[in-house]
Amino acid sequence: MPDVLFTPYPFRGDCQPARSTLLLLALGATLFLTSTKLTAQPFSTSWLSGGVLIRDATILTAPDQQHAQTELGSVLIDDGKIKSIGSAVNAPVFARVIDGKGKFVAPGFIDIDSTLAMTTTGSSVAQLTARAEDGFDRFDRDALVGALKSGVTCVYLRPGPALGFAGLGALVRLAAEGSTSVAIGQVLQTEADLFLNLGATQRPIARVQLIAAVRKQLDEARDYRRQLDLYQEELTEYEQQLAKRAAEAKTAGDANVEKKVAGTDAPIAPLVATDLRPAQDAASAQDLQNPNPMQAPPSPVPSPTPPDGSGAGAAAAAPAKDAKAELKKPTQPPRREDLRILLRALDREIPVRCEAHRSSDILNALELADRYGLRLILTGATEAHLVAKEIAAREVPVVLGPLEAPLDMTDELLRRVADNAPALLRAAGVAVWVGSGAEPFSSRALLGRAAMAEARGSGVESIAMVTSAAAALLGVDSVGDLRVGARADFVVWSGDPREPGAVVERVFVGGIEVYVRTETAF
Amino acid sequence: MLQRWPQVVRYVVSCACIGGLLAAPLDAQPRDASAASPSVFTLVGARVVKADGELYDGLAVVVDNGRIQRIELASTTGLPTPVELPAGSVLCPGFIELCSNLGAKNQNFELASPIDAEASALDASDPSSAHFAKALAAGVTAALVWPAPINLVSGRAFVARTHVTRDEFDCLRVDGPLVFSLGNQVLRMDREPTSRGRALALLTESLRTGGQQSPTFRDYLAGRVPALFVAGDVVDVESALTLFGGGLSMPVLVADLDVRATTERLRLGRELAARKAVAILGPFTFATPENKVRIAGEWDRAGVRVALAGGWPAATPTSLRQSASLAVREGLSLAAARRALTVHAAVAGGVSHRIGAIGSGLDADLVVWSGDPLRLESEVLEVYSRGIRVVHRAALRTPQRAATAKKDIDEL
Repeated sequence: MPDVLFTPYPFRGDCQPARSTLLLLALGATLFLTSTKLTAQPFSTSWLSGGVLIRDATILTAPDQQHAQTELGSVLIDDGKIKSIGSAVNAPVFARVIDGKGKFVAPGFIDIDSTLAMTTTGSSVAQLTARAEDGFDRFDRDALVGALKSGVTCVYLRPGPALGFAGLGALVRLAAEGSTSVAIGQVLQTEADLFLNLGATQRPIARVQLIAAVRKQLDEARDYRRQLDLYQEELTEYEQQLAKRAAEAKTAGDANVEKKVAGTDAPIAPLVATDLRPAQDAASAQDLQNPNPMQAPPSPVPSPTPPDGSGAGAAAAAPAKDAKAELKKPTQPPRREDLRILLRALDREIPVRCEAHRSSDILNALELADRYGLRLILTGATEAHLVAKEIAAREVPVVLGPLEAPLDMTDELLRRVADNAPALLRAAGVAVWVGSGAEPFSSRALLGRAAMAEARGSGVESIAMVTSAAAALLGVDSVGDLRVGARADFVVWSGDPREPGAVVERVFVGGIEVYVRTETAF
Repeated sequence: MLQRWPQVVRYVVSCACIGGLLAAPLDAQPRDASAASPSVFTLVGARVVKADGELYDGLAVVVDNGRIQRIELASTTGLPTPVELPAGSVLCPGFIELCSNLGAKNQNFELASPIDAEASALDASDPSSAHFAKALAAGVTAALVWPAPINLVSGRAFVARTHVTRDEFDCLRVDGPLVFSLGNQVLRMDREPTSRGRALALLTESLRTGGQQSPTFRDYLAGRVPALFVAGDVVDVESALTLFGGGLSMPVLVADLDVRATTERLRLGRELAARKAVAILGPFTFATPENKVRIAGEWDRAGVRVALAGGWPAATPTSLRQSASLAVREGLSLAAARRALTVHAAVAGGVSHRIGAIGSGLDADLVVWSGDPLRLESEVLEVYSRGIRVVHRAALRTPQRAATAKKDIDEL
């Protein structure tokens, strides 16, 4: 046997470790680590990868968007996604393990009606092109941490409070900045919906004028659509005509070449190179005058123009010249960003979220949806219970605003709140949601409001309302649930989040821990 | 015709006598909204909130003629007229809303004089106001109504039950607490004090000589009437600790402090605890900064008796529980939160010898909740005032009201 293996000291005379000794040490360490994991659970082929494992917690989910369910188990996250979940989860060797005994793991809550970290107080002038994401302060740590401490990891932000079409709402995820654990706002959808504010307490004449203005804008958008369609038709025809001319010119040019081959003395006209130039120059000049991305690119096929004025070529070119003079490129309608946004709503690409409180305003909103084919979501909806049948007939979802009126009934709007509105709406077949509302720090109110709505007959359990049901309303399926393959946006609670004493201990967004409770235990 | 007059008169008198005899029992005590309540009965089946704020299973509460006679084990045999409460429900003392303007009629504060100990909020409150019925339906069985605290001495608050019958308050206390204030709201340009220095001087003088001018002041200085002290800032609290030393009992502190430094909050808590102070905090909303809400838990752990206010009538019916729920989230224990709404609130109002806890000899002002009242989704099932059931949830959601709602939906 080689002496080096049995040398009593691991080092040679020059104090360098023997190579074989180092190999033995490395092998031993690997076997040790593997064996400790093997004794804990079955051997995993992914033992070399990392990830985070929350072990032996109560997993709280609501997969059917109505009822919450719990099961004891573990959650393994890796590469920003949930890799494994349940009672039999293999832990990789190098995974970070968090003890979840006595804790609850729930999906990050989704606030479907929020003004979190919105820096603008809102303009009184409605702007279709206003974007909620432009008013969102992604670095407002106080607000973002406040939301995370309430278990909220995703919010819908409404644009300003202007009456009429107030702009585009945004969906924001409170994700980590790069590879750090600092949470900032990451915009998931910049144009989540188009927000229409019909107000609450205006005088009747103002409300009539507002609805008339909204209809006018929608009609204008329809007209714009017709202009765009007409332009497209004309452009298509123009291109077809150009192609036809080019084909004719080519035919005439070939005939010219054949004549040459047959024995004429006239040189073969360099049809392509020379003839292209004038048409190309004309097209370039036109592009410079109107450099619009919506403009169709100039046709690469020019009208042929023989340079030598030969008889056949001249005869072929003359009618082409005359026809080219007649052919006029259609004028593109001016670009209107505001109307483009309305067209997206008319095409049902994005929903229209309408804030309407009075029953008459709600009926106006429903009429707009019928007339223009809009995909409507009602928000606020203080008197929705009075027109529940109409809402149910159109299957319009409702995001309720105030759930109860103050004792002092002086507020003209709040005095109309019915405390059993969720039950009345549900009885009529209307689906009900709640968000946190319009206060800046009101993410703390989210779960409490959902619980109140449940108690007052919404028919949806509170956890479901702020997770899977909220995700379904917003049309996103990558958040709001704990399942294999979903984004690892979840929260570790000290207890059942529905109990008053439960607090958030850890928040993971995209698999990165963005919040850890640091206060000492009470 | 004239011969029949005596017969007619006898007939009318007879009817009047019969009517009077029938009406007499109706005036004896408030009517129950549903079936007549027996005078002695036992409430069983619910978890009971005792004076320490904890929830206990397996207990029964015996009520005798409007007072809590005793607490027994539910398994005890021979309990009088057991009333089975719904499974999962919680029997809790009625909450007490503090520092409210319930029923305030017009202006309930005096602007001319900075010191007016004799003004009474009772004279400016309307018992027929709808506020009280709503408060009762929200599980609040008593309220401390105070004059707006914009004077150095604003007058006397009063404590009354929210169950109002025949437009008359069922008062638990009419002689106070006396309301002291210090802070920017008492400084005015049209009368004294216009500065903090003058405000302190006036307050010191009034405490020294007030007993000579005002019966209420004399009662306060003699310890017969409690007091509230409204502080808007840390320096106001420090002033209160100084002003009310030397034999004067520390008034109940009504504090709305925005103190960011934890050490400062804890220091104040220790000083107040050393003076055996009671503090009224809140109302807390979801927009209240966390450092304001954390004071509740920090002071409670320091030994201060913490009570919570709900901000009525400007706030919603759940605002009182919302304040408690937010305080729990920021460190107040569940038991302390329940104490803040009940027993400590009664101490703050000077009526702890009458209400605020489920204890032998106290008035049977009780509320049956569908669950822990600190959970916002819990609802009031029943309310007892002086041992009489005055609110029943089935009555709130009457079949007629439900049918009306459905009819509205069908017709629209």
